[in-house]
Amino acid sequence: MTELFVDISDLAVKKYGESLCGDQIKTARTEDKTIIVLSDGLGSGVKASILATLTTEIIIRMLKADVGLADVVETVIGTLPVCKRRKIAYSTFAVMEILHRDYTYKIVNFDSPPAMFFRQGRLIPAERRTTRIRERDISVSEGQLEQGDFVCLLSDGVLHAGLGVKMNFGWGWDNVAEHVELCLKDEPKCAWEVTHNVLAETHALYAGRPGDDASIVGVLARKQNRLTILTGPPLDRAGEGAIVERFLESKGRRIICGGTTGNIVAEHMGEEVQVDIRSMTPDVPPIGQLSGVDLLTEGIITMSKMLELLQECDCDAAALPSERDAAILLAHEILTADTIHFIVGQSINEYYQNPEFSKHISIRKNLIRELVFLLNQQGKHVTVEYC
Amino acid sequence: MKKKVELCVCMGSACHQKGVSAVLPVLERLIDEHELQDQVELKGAFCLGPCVDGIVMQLGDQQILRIGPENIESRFVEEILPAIRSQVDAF
Repeated sequence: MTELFVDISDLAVKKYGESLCGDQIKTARTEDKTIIVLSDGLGSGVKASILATLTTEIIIRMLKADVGLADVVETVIGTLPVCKRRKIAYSTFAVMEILHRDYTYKIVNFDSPPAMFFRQGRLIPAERRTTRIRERDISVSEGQLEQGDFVCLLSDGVLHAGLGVKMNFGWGWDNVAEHVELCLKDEPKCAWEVTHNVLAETHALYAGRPGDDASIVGVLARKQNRLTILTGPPLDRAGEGAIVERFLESKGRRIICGGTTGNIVAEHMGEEVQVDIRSMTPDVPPIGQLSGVDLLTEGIITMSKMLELLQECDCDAAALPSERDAAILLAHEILTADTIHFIVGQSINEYYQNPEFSKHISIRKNLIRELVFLLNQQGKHVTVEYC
Repeated sequence: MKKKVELCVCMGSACHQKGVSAVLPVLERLIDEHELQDQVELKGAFCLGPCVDGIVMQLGDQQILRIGPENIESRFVEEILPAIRSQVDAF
């Protein structure tokens, strides 16, 4: 079974003139599963926003605590207030749960537009069954994700786009699905390419003044890009060999950030690091080469520079400088990866205690912490081990 | 054909911080000026050890310490050049 990565992108536009969005989306990734919740609060503005937030929060928290989906739905429906006048619940929702073990998924819709499922770029009519929970109809669809599958959850604000502006009945579910198929023709590398396109179209159909909150979640199942980064010499010199072995056997791409670390690995392999002296710049030390390692760089200076680059380009690989130094290559590798594991050696080079070495490069741990925070925000799955 | 002498220049964290990127072009020019291109192979390295005494260079077993952009010209003429010559002669 190919190892898949569930790439998620969620975007929303709010109703014209409102200060808050009445659609709320939350996603969570645990060791075992990925959870996505989209909730649409009745009406718009503050009240809708609060109700939708409440709904997504309850669902996400319960699912993270491994409460069964049926129980969660029952709790939420039981908790949601019902509009006395319109006799409908104050918020609707769609939940998708994906198990990492075998990529089986379950989608539950409560009064929200049915999810769209695409395989090999074509819309697949989903088999939905309806169950009743607390006298409300819940639509459930299940299946197993394959590489390239795309799933779309959306709020009715997208379906109604253009209503009374450019179309009599709005964009509509079938037309939106057709538009997504068009987006998938270009074989998008990430879910954002599709969601961004659909919401831009939504906005255009509303002539820039959305008549309702509109939101979308795109889920793209793609091949998982794994990366392991070894940085810093381990504290325990005796355990070094085992760490090096594990690093060299790790799946996916492998990077070493640290000159001494590179020398340690080279020594264990009975090789020597080859340094490309031409790749050195006044700001960034050069790139090294070692067999079995995809990129070898100096440690602290290069990683600091790479973190700066990520912040400057807002984590968009396309916005990185086109030159080829170690920090830029490192930034590219990191932005391309979905799952990143850091093995951080804590041995301290005494020279770094020297005051002439500027303070921002003195502590590896702080640097890693800041980097992990940024990458988590980008939806990457990051783990760190210290040795 | 004569074997080349390897002149290793550290480009690790400390030595980079101490300005090795300014030393490298000068070193290359000096090697050209003294017509040593066929006798010396300039190589880079990550961390040659004594970071406190950087910039560090290594010629065979001999480490040359405390090189900097300010002294590379004189140190080359006074120490590195004779060391290279004696190693070349030893081959």
